[in-house]
Amino acid sequence: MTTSPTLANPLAGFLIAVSLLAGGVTGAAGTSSGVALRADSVRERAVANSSISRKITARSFGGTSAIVASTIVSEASVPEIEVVGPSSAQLVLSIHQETGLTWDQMAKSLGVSRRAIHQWANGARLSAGNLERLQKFYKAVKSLPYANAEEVRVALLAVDASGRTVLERLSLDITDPGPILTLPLWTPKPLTNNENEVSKS
Amino acid sequence: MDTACANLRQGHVVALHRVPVMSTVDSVTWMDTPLGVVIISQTCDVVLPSRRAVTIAPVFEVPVEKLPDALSGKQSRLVHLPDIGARSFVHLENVATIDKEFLEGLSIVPGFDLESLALSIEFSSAIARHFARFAFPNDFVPWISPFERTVLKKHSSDESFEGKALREVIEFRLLESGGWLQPPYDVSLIAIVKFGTLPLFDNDGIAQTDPGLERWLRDSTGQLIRSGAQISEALFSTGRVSGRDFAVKTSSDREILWTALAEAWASSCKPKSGTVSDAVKQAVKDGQIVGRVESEADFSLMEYRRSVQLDVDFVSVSELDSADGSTAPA
Repeated sequence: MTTSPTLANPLAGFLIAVSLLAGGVTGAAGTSSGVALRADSVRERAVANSSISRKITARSFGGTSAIVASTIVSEASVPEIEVVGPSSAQLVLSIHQETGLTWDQMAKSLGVSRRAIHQWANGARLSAGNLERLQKFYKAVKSLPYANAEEVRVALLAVDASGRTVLERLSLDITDPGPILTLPLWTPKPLTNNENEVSKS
Repeated sequence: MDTACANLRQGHVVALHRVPVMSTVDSVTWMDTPLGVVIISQTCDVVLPSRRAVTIAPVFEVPVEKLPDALSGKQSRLVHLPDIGARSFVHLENVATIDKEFLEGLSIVPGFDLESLALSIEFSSAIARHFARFAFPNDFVPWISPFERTVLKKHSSDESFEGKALREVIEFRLLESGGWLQPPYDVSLIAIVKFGTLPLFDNDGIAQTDPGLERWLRDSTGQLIRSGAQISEALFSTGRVSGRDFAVKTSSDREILWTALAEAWASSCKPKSGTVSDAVKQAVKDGQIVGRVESEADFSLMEYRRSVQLDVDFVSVSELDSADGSTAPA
């Protein structure tokens, strides 16, 4: 992870992140198209004090489309992306420091209030669902091939051809907050197809 | 028909003295409603000529001994009709749908002051509450019941610091990561407090933790050692609480105390030991509900839509009541 890719293609970095989020199954060995990166193994071990240690082994496969990926990772060397075991508070602080994102951007990316982010940064306990999302966010950030927070921030806020930023895509990918339980204020479909007919009958 | 209903509003009591109840297939019996029925349908639906029917529910006189419970709002099926009588309620268990023609020519009186926007909202909210309450899974209910009892007991207690803290809470919401589909449930209890209750952030935003306050709140392993009552007292008193002086509190202190209070409330959500089944014991992930405090100005709509309200909201007196100068019906 020492080679810093060009910032001209931040989406490639994002795709690496997504491949890691997906548990390393987005690319298949020998595939020459698509994302040329696969996380071969994810080994997790829980350590005391709610800390989590993750070691992700990433390997590239000889694709032609993932230019950035091929510059970062070669088949010969199998680099290890070390995501060292932060507590939930350290996790929040690390994301903040390593992405250069504002607290507000972080909160919006995770679909929570800024206050929730601050409480977690101060050590407040968080739900398993939110912890998982934070870990996914952190893994994705750690997998981005940039040298410093400013580069990461620029990459995350870069807009792709579809008009979305990489951060938005990442956000949508990791933020699956469960089904909506509150009824919408307006229901677009009427109860019957022709209510007037019912009235006249 | 239309002229008869043009003046009707939700909350009107109509002198209709029997309503249909379907008892078996093809069999309708009539239930006597000597005190009349109340219009439950939303007013727009009542007055629109294109709407053929309205929903109604009987007026019910609560026995004197049951009156305090009924007035407290503990029984969501009973909604007070103060302009009919002190013991008069609409009983939502027997809602019926009738053709508007049945109402033609019948006398009507308001069940409450229909000119009051606050009371109209309160009435419609009470009806909505009865039908829209979220049905928590059976094995989860014993986890939240003790906390509901605490809220009911302490909310109206003027002397209690915890009561004062509870009166800052607009509503409690429960957020479950997987949408309550299967246990163990990953639950957060979120206390949403009035704007201004929590301090504003500076640019950096992180509350500066006072080590002394942390030592007062937690043991060496980080476990909270203070109860909701103690933390509430620390928040609202200006004296010593359990050995620590709270005469001066910084914004960070307030933030940390409110966060700890939400944690304490969540920690009190435990089933009674001894009598619960294994299914109940295992219903909550890691055996602990997570607590969080949010300002009404901050809570994200995304989380709001995925969470459900804890049905202790009725203990709050509507702020709209004081806004228009009217009084609550009970």
